[in-house]
Amino acid sequence: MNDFIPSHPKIVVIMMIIMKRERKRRELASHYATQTPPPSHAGFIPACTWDMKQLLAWIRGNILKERPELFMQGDTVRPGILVLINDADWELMGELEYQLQDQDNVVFISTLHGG
Amino acid sequence: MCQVEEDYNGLECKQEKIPVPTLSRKCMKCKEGTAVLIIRVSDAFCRSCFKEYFIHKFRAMLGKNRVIFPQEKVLLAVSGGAASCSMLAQVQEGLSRDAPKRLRFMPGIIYIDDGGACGRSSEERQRSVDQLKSIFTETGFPYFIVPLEQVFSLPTSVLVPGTSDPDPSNPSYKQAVDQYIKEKQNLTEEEAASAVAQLRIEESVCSPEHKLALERLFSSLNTLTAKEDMLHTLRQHLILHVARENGYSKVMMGDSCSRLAVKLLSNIALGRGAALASDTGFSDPRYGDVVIVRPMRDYSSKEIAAYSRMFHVPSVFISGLDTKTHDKASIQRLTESFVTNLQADFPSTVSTIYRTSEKLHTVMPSQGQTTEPASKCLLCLCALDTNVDKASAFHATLVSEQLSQIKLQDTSHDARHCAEGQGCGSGGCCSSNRSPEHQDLKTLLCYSCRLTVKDMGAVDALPPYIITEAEKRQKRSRMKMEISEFLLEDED
Ligand SMILES: [Zn+2]
Ligand SMILES: [Zn+2]
Repeated sequence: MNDFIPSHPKIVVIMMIIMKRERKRRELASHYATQTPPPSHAGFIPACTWDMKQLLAWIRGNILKERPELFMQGDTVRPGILVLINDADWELMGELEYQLQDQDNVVFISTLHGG
Repeated sequence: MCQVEEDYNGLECKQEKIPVPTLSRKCMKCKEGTAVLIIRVSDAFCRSCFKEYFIHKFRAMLGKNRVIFPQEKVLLAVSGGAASCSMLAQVQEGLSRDAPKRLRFMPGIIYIDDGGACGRSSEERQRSVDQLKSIFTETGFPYFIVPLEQVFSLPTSVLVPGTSDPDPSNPSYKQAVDQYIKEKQNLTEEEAASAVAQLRIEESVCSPEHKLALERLFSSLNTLTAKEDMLHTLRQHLILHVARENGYSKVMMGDSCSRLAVKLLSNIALGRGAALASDTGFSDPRYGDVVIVRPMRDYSSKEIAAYSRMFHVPSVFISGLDTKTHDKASIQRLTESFVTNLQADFPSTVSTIYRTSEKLHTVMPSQGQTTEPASKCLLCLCALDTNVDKASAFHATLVSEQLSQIKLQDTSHDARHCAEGQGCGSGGCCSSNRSPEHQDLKTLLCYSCRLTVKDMGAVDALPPYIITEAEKRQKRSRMKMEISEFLLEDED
């Protein structure tokens, strides 16, 4: 509060999407830039292609054990959380319908104070 | 794959030659680059136009307002968050030699380590301080890292606007100005002599007693709303003190427009309506000699977050009082979630509130003109809004409070009943008899600060500089009252 200083990026989740084409599987490794979420985690995604909606559902089920409402609202991220896919606004990329690709870099940044 | 765009921009979808269909929207400014960020409702910028726009906005804000003079010492209040760190990065950028319109002021950095009030362990605090130190050292600017515990060794002069004299015995405005000019001269002389000596405070450590005192102060506040308000007040006092001690005449705060929109609404809810103009405006002259400026007030928090990420502005995650708290934990948090949720459906919410803040003016003697400390709130140093006429809501609240207190006095002999568990609840005789100091202190505070202090269990938990200054002002006003009897007769 703030005031003096506003908007800490309280939740910063960085996900690297790595596809292993020969095994028709997608390996998803995630890194966390802050200590807020639990320690790093790697998971495997089934053969089908995923969109952002599925990724968010996966994050909710596997990473956000504590207070998911600080991150999600319905099936999407809550207002005030900026989503960048390869350093570009996901609003330009179809948001939930965006099809994840190999080597994609997805970042969630909270612009909220108490996030 | 084209479906993705179809939903968003059906027209451009015709360009089927583009192999990767994502990111095909063009920048609205240069019409060439690929858009990477939506700023306002439909303004999409490419990476380089966004950078240019972001940098330009900072200089335009300072250029438009013309409050910072060349060679002036400016203290940047940095919390480690994205907004204040972006502000720091913009100042660095503006001072760099190759910038076309170079900024010419002399910056310093201050970080207030409020970990003691937010229940962070000393290891955690040390870790963030180390991270910040490496960011600050990189800039080459002088910096101050001050633990919040230092409020327990502040002098009372912090609470007096316009002059850094530790004991101003009713100085007239002219005297204050003269003294200020004299002091300023002294400071510039000192400056030249000891530019390095400024770094002294940087390593200041807090004693265990102060640590406990701070814990006691914050545990004596019952609600998160009051805690946040108190933290803000104390932090301002520390920044002001360091600024004065080191000859800084401006302090830059990193409030974004999203932040200010929330602050504007929550301050109304907190009863700070009378101080809105100075609490949220570009410049805030309430302290007289040190002016607060808010150069980030044109940026949305989305722009700041995106810029920091895309252009690698270093920032440090530091948990605060409200981290991971519930949306309804405090008035400030509730307002934030209200504004953010509204903004999601109505994208002009923040800008509308923010533009309102630009039009606000207080219809009171302008802040900073009266140097008489008694006319300012003891805590927030805004003009006292409690001298209003009898038709106001404030007066009505006061009357009803007095009436209920008269009743309480009548029944105070029944206090034994309460002790026996007959229950008087909150607001009953037991709770209001608890501390008579509340009443005394209240007369020196603005409406909003009264509410915060009312929330306190024990007023004596306040840092000594506040208590001492309060006693001094009370003594002075009692004396004035005694004299005024004679004066009034004389006038007639
Ligand atoms: Zn462009
Ligand atoms: Zn006040």
